[in-house]
Amino acid sequence: MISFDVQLNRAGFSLDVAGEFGDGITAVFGPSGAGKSSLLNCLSGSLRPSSGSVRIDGNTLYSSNEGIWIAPEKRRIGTVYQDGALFPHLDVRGNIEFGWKLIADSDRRFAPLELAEFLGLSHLLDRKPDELSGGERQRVAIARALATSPKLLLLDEPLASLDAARRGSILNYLKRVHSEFAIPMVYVSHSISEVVSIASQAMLLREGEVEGFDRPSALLLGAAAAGGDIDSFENILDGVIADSTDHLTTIRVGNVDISTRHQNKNPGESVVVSLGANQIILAADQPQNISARNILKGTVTEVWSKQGKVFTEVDVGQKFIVELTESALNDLGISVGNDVYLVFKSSSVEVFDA
Amino acid sequence: MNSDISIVALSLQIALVATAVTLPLGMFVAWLLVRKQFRGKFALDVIVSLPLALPPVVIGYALLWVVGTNGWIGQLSESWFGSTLAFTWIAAALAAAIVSLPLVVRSFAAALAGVDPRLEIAARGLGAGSVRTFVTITLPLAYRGVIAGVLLGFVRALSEFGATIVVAGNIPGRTQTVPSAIFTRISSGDTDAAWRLALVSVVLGVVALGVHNWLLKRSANGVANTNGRAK
Amino acid sequence: MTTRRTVGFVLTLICVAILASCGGKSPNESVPLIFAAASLSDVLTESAEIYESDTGKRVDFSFGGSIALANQIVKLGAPADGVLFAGGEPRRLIREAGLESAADAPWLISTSLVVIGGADALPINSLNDLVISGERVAVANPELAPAGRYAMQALANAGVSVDIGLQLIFTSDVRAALAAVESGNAKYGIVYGTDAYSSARVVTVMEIDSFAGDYFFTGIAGAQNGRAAQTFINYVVDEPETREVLESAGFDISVKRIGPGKPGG
Repeated sequence: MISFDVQLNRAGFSLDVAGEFGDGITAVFGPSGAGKSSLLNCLSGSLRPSSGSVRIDGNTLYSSNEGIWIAPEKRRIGTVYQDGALFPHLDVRGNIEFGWKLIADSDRRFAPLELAEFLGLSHLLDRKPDELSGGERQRVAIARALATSPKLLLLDEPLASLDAARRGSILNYLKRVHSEFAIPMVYVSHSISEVVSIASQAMLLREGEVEGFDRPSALLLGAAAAGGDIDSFENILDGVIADSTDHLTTIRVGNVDISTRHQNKNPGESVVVSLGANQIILAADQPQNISARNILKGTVTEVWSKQGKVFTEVDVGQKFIVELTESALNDLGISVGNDVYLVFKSSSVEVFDA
Repeated sequence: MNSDISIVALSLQIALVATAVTLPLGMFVAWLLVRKQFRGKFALDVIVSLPLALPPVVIGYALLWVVGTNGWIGQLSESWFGSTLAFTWIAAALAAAIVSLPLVVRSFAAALAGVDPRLEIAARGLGAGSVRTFVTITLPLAYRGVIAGVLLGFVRALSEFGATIVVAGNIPGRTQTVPSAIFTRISSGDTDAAWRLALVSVVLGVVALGVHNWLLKRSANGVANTNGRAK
Repeated sequence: MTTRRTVGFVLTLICVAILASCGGKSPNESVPLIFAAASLSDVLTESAEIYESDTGKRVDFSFGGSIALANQIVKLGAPADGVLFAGGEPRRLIREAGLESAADAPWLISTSLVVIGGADALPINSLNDLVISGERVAVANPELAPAGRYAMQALANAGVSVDIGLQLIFTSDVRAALAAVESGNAKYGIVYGTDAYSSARVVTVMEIDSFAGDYFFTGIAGAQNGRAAQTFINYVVDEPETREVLESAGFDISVKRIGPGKPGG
């Protein structure tokens, strides 16, 4: 558990944030320039705040009042950067082992090879970073950070330079890393879709200050107000292939099955599915005789409405975020607790490798 | 007349020692200028660059006052060795080191600046202290520029004349370097001998600069960037 | 390129530098260092070779304008063990600085002062003619070498005024003046008779009477190898072989004894 209360004053920018992050995955979300990366840097020690304190598991890393400052290399906090920041003159093995070599045997929780295997890198150990794809680079970056057995993992926009397919895949890896190795994570992003997908808690930052700290979906309203990346919300969910016919594949997501275009995969394989919030239609009554292959019944659990944009969260056995217009909301009389039907085409669902 | 070989050998000796001095000093100053913020940084930059803007004879004269009978280094040397450092090859090496330092610092600073500081931050986050980060991350990524800087400094030290002749004189066998010998031969009208040494200087200069430029070209084609993507 | 190679490169450089400096000469050699007038460079170098093959001992020199060298010793602390200079001015400088080791340094060698011209130079009858000819005249810088002073004094005595800079070319020492005439950059020059004699590319067009270059030797007080310097000079003026070198170059060897020691070395 990491707790902090830091202030930073620079020319043209100020940061004043306080909070406490638990052992799960906590997101730090907000538009560019909000101070997300600066907060991470204050936690990792690569930036020295003007005043305040940072404590992790009861140990003080920084305190301006007590005059304590622990150097970054002694904090045991791992960081994954946006484009990996891999050492170009070392191969994959060298990168992963870099920090691992510097910690005492007694502190080592993972072996580099074990991490490489978990992240699917075993066949790449002798390659140099410039010979890897974007997704592979990020996985190396994750393995490198984990190899130091950190008490906390910071991720600074780790998916920002990846394409859609890779994003889903890496997001999935991160979820698995968290569940497998039980390392608390702080995940910085300006993409609400990623935040909703991965985090259990989220801190909303705007112009250097905390605007909210809540379940990620609850921040949608605040995000919309903040002008965050809300235009195209993607539901990013984990799924397992259930069945396949010539034209359609069934994927189990949460507690519900959905139909997608045919995928060349075998039942039991893990995948990541992505479905845009604006590709789902809400129906107050069960639609009859329509072409869409996905008609799911569920209950409205949340509604957010601001400046003409409406988002609802509907639980059909898996929670989906759906975008509507305000007039539709009013016409259908949608409100929390209503039973509704979600409708979307199988072709609207994107499926990625996990 | 002093043989060509012995003159070249003495010059090489002086230049090598001068380079060995400027290498660590130049690297430290370059690192300060590129990676650190502190008051007086501007002044440090000016002081280190000063030899570029001063006539070498001025540098030699100033150095003479420090290593000669009136200077503190000179008096220290007198109490240890019985004589001042003036008019010795050590003084010549010091003069060469001073005039080549600005070039070395600039080359090193450019090399260091070409290394993405985020890589150094990443290394620190992984548990490496400042020194380890510098040795295992910064230097290997900057090595071409560093070697280029060493070459530049070496060849500058090799060709120093004005400062050397003031602080070390032009004593055949002791402090007569290639440039000093060329000057003496020109003055005494021995043009053939002057041309021979001049040719040696030109060849050394061409080779050193050729390698220097080739090294810089290779590092600009970018293995030193974050993920090795060529520019 | 790995860290190891970088470190290896640096260490190699440092090792080479250390080896180089070990192989080179340390400042505390027992080889005497003699500062001498430029005109003596040929004869002294040759004499030193004879001395070394005879006794196995080496001598180092620094040649230049006598006044310039004297200043280096007196004002800048140059580590000369002995000097062989021309003229009174350098002697005065050394004596006044209290650096003259011998109680009385006798005049050792002398030579005349002459006007020289390049191969195709027209004969000159007086210094006045020299100036009127309008040709460039190379002369040692009087601030640096006695030869230059003598030249200027000779011109002053002859009542001629010369446009310094336009007609007179100052060089760093008298040998450089000789070289200027040899190369044709100056039509005429005023140098020592021995300098003229040493070069096949110039002719003596006129002797200047009542001027001579006299050279004296003195050890430098407090020098490390003063005795070795004296020994060498004694050898030069005593041994027939070296005397031959001096005389055939045109130098006139007069009084020879310096410091305590028997004649003949």
